[in-house]
Amino acid sequence: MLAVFHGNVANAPQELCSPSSRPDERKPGLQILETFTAQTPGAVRLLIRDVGGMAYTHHKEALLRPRSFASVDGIFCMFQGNLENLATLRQEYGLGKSITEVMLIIEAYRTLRDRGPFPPDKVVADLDGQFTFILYDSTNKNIFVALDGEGKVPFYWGTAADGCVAFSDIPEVLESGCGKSFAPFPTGCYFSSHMGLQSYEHPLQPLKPILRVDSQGQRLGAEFEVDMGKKDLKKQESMHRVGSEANWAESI
Amino acid sequence: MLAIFGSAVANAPQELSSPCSTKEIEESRKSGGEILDTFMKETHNAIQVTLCDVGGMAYTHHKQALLTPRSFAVIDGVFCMFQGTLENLTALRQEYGLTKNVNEVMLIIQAYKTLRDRGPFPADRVLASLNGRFIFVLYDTNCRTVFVAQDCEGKIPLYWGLTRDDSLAFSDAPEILKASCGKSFAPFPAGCYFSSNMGLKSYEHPLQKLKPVPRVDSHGQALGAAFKVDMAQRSQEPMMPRVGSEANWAQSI
Repeated sequence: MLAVFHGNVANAPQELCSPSSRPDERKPGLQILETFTAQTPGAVRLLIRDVGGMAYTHHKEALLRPRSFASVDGIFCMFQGNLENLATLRQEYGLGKSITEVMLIIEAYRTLRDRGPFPPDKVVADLDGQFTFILYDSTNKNIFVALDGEGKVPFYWGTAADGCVAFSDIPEVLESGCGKSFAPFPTGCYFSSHMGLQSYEHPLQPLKPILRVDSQGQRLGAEFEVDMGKKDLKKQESMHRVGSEANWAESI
Repeated sequence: MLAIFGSAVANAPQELSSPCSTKEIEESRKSGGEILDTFMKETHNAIQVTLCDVGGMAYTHHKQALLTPRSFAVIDGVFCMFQGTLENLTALRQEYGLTKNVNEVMLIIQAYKTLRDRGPFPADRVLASLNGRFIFVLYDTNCRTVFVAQDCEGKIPLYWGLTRDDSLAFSDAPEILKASCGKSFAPFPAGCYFSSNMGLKSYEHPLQKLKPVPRVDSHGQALGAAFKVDMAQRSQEPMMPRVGSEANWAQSI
């Protein structure tokens, strides 16, 4: 699966962009998407004007980690993996038995966006299993991407030539499209348009970039790890007090 | 909204193709992919889904009618675009055992899935139970089936046409098809549905056949035919064909 988003929707951390990346080895976001669609059998592509796009296929998917795609009320979501506590989560969100993992993610996101009963790290931490998902909300132009704590499902992100952020479970796709400006997505973390990259396993700790080099000694896109030595002072007050006129959706 | 399906999944009736095909008209016709690309370029906030080797769908909420909004959903490999409203949505939710947050487009997908997997009654019965002004275009990736329908009153316009590469195009905007299908396009018949397996059928009069009605433009040139229910002729097929348990019910959609 592959998702590409323009810089006006998603701003990737600067450290993800490699300084030793040549301009000719990177492609624009939509070209990466087109190449993927052309080279992958049975690919389904979604294009969103002035935002980017998504593409997925069921070709060669892992038996225990199937890919799925759903769209409801302007929310588009690609999911890979499985949730072990799906039955419990269905009950918690008051959903029917026919609800699949990808539909549950959309419902959880909508609850978070519209009612915001608790912070996003709590919602993602409640998901138990091996999973990765990419969600785009066309209503408020927000993306929400997450990977489970174990990182059993491979997941990568990178920056394209035109500043687009690309996400994929296939490293070769990003290697050919983003050159050296790509890295594994940090486990136990989520990325959103409003909040940037955050750890949901350690919500009070900031993330620090770790430099990576290839066999030729050239710098690659940085990986991110939780800095256990520091505490994020902004997040000390876990539930910040806001007036009723504040937009809760911006805390996702 | 716009949907294009290749001839591999949707075979249009021959009468939809205009016999008047001068060189000039043929050159103005576009392929399915070109129509989708043009729609994406010319439409604000457009969203396009490209279905591998099959075709694609595109829609926008820009300039949509207040009382007949457009919606799109994908559930379990079933892609559906819906425009309009269902007046009996609450009753249908109850009938299909669905929750309160289910909207029109999700209900159409659920109704289709029930029809495909369990087939408790014929497709015309399911569509006849939908009350309101609506059109929808549905594509099922699992069994490569197209399912398109329009309400009986035909208050929401829906057009269909043939592209240069023999793909079948559906749209609520006649200008799109006029510019890309030449003269090979026509209004979709009200109270009817089209599916890959069953072709064009009337769900208002399921026992009657449909007859093509020739249309001509102001220059006297033949356009794609419109279809009307032929009240004089009865369809020979029995309503509920008797089949063994090994038969594929999904083929009767």
